[in-house]
Amino acid sequence: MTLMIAVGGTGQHVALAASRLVALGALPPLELAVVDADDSGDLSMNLRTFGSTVSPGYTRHPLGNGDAIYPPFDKKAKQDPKFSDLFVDPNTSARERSVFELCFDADSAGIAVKDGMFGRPAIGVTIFTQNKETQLRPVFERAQLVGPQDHIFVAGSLVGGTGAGILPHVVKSLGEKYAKSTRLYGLVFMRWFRSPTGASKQTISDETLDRNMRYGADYFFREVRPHLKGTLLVGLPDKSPHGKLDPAFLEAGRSDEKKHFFHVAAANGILKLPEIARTEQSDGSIYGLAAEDPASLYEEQWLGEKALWWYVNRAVTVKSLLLYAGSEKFKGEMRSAFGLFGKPDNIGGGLSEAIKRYGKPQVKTVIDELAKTWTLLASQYEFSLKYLDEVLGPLPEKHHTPRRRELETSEVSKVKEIQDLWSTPLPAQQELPKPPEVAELFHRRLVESFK
Amino acid sequence: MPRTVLLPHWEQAPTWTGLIGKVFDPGQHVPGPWKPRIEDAKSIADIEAFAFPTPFAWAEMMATVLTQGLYEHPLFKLYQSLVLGVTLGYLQLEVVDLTSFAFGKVLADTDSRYRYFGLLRGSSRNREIQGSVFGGTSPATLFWPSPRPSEREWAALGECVSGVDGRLDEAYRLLADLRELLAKAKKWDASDKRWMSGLNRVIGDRAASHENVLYHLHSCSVGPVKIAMGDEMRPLYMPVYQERFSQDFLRAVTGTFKLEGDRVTLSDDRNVAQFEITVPVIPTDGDLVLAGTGNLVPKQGQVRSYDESVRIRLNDDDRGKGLFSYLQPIHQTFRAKPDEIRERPFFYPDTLRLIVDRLGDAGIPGSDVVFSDRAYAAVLDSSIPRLPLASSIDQTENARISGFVLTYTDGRDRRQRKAVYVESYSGVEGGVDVGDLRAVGWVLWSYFIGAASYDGQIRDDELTPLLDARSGVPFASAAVHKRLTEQPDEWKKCRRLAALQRFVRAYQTSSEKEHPPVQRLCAKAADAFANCAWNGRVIPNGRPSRKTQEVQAGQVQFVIYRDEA
Repeated sequence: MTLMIAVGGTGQHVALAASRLVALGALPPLELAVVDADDSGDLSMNLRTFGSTVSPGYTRHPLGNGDAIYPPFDKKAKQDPKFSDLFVDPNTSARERSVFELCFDADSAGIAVKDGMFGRPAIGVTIFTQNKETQLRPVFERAQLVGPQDHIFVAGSLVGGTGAGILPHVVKSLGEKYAKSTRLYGLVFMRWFRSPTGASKQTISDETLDRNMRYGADYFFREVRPHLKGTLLVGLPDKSPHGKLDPAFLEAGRSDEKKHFFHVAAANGILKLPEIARTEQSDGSIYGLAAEDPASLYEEQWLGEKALWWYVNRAVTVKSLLLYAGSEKFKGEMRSAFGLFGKPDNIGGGLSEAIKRYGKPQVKTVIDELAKTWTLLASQYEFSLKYLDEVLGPLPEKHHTPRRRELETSEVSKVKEIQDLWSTPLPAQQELPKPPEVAELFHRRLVESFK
Repeated sequence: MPRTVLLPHWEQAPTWTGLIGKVFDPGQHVPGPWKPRIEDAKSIADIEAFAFPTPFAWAEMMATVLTQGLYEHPLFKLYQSLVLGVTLGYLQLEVVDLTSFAFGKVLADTDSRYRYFGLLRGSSRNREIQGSVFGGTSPATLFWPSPRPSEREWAALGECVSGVDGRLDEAYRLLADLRELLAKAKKWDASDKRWMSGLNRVIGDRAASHENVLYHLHSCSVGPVKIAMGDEMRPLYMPVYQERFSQDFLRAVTGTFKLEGDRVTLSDDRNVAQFEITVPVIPTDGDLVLAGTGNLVPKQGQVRSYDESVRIRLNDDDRGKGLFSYLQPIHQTFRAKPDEIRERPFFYPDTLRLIVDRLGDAGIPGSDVVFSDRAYAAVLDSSIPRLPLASSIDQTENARISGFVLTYTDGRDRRQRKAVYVESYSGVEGGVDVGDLRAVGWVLWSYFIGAASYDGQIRDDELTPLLDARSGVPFASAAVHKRLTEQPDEWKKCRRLAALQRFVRAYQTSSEKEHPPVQRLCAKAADAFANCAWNGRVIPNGRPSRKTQEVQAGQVQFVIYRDEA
């Protein structure tokens, strides 16, 4: 399975965008490994819970291992160390101290690293390297398991402190050691946001971002690019062609998701870069995005060479049916189907048969579980669709399918669809699956019915 | 609105129709508008090297300065001080295996090219800077300045390399020598925007020394620094100006040697250590070359020969093991031939460079080439850079080198060997007469006129052996050379034209190519002696002598003649 290694806050943003597209079926299944010091802020929680729609036993994260974040250093080890404290102490030999002082000026040595790297990638990478074998062993182990037909994508930015310091060396570590024969691709961001206003002296400023971008780009071109089969490089143009392509604004003290077109566009690179590599010698090449209207992304081809609008229509359709299936009304219908004069076909013969297998005493519980699962699945679609609405704009009317329009407006149509799509029994299974698994199987029928 | 490429400072329209298209080919560098803006820095404090995502951020900053050709940048000024500081010996290069300590392992893990890392530390030449670390080494830039020394310390280093000690000119010429040698070996490319451009700028258009005599005779090497040359990484040894260093080292090679831990100590007859040769013990994944195998460390001010000896003790002899016995691991590490070391001396430590440079083919253990002790002595006392390679001495006259190469088969191991008889050769600061041929010629003459006899050895009337065949071939003994040099009457006694003519005639018969090489040697030696004794060309005359004697000397057999008259 293809692996995405998301580095820093930008990496988390790309991972969240990719999660949504996997949930919609527009991207193939992916495994995720996130490397970031921030594992509990709003963005991180959103990623780990997929917008609070992951409920163990009911719904899964669209990405394998999507709920785990690996901090690049052990936050519990020392209370409030200075950078130099991590490497030199009174017992350090004079020679070792000389080498440390040769590499780092006095200001850098005095940085309190628990507060972040203050836009100093040299510090970020050094701490990362010191800890990578311990803290990040699971990430590299995952990388080693990626098969020869699959790929590894490393997503992150050149601009901040932690991510900018770490991304080049994640790539180099993979390319030189852990995934030497695996195809590596980069989803690399230059500037995509403006710094917080009213920031204190120690936080990142626009000047810092610009500086890091330049130094990071210089280093990337020389040292990192050769390890990558291809790189998608993304950054703010001097003149934004559309309001939705303007820079995102960070706000001091806030760590929520900053939704932006760049992230979902970068996720398209997961499909496009390997495609390009199949037809041309792409090693070391760098690719960019071109757009004038974010809504044009709806017309780009995604998995199976289908346009994104097709997946959006499918998702809207399926969500609509799931919401109905999880509603109190349909729950009532399901209960009635097992009543004295109940008509199983009202809820779909196959569904009725499936519920019946649990035995009459369990019917109510099973119905509740099925409904809960469908509601949660619907919320996952909602989480993905709402995002696309925000970053790309609503799906243009011209791409709305008749079936979608009908289901959006007519409850009768929903009932008929469910009755029809859930009419045939599930394949016989030896063991009785849990109700959420049954719910998922019926969900899949809805998905597969969309042509 | 037309489609826009979503990258900063990008003016061209997209050349593709879909969302994603190519913007850079693999060989293209970072574009100008994205380059780091570093030209405005006025001092080290203004430099934000930490923005590079590597712990070697200052090395990266130095690389950027060189790549952008910013020769007025504060870092480049310090770079100049580092280069001159090393060349003048005010900075010593201390090579460290980073994997030998914890922080070093982190560094080496980020970039394995730096594993064998050089610290540039103030030497004992100047107390004010002694011990302070001024910089490090890098594959891209050669050296880079540390951010830690104070302005006062940098000023002190700057003062050292400003020429106050009167050696600045030599330092520049020495660096120009290095540049010229690299160019001759096709390893120099000043258009390469890395260390070569920096070094080129430091040297400017200063000329190298004639025949690079400063490099060959008056420098020691430090390093190596793992350096980028084109697409490959090579170990480069940097020269440090040190007058007469080559001669001093060879003088020390007349002494005794002892292996002590990771060093071979060269001592004189008072057992005073004069040099140490490093033979480091390294981990199994280590690199002997980069760890500094074969480096020379001088131990004392004045070097003296062992008991006024002029015998360079490369091979084992009556005083014990020769230096070659201790250099085996070094030779096994480098596995280089003499011509390779001569063509690219900057890739080899002093232990190989100096010996091969001065002694040519004889400078490698197990060599099939041998010179006379007299030739080795000339190397010790003369300022001539080097003994010639055997390949450069032809049977025909050469404007700068005259002599004879005797090829023979060593009966002990059936190997083909070469004994080089050097008559004279000229170099940078004049010519030198070694006189190997005429000395052998004098021995043959002594027998010819009955002043010497043969009883298994050719001896004079005091029974002193006149040939020294310890090397396997007959060179004239030291006593013969001493006699010819210190007793001018010897030559007067030989000025007998008729006898000389018969002498030359006797050996002329075996001067043609179809005769064994040793006989041709005798013919050449006879010629050389006769011409020298007569101080002019001696034309062969008279009947060839039929009084012959077969002689065995070392591994060769030949015929000598007695005058019938």
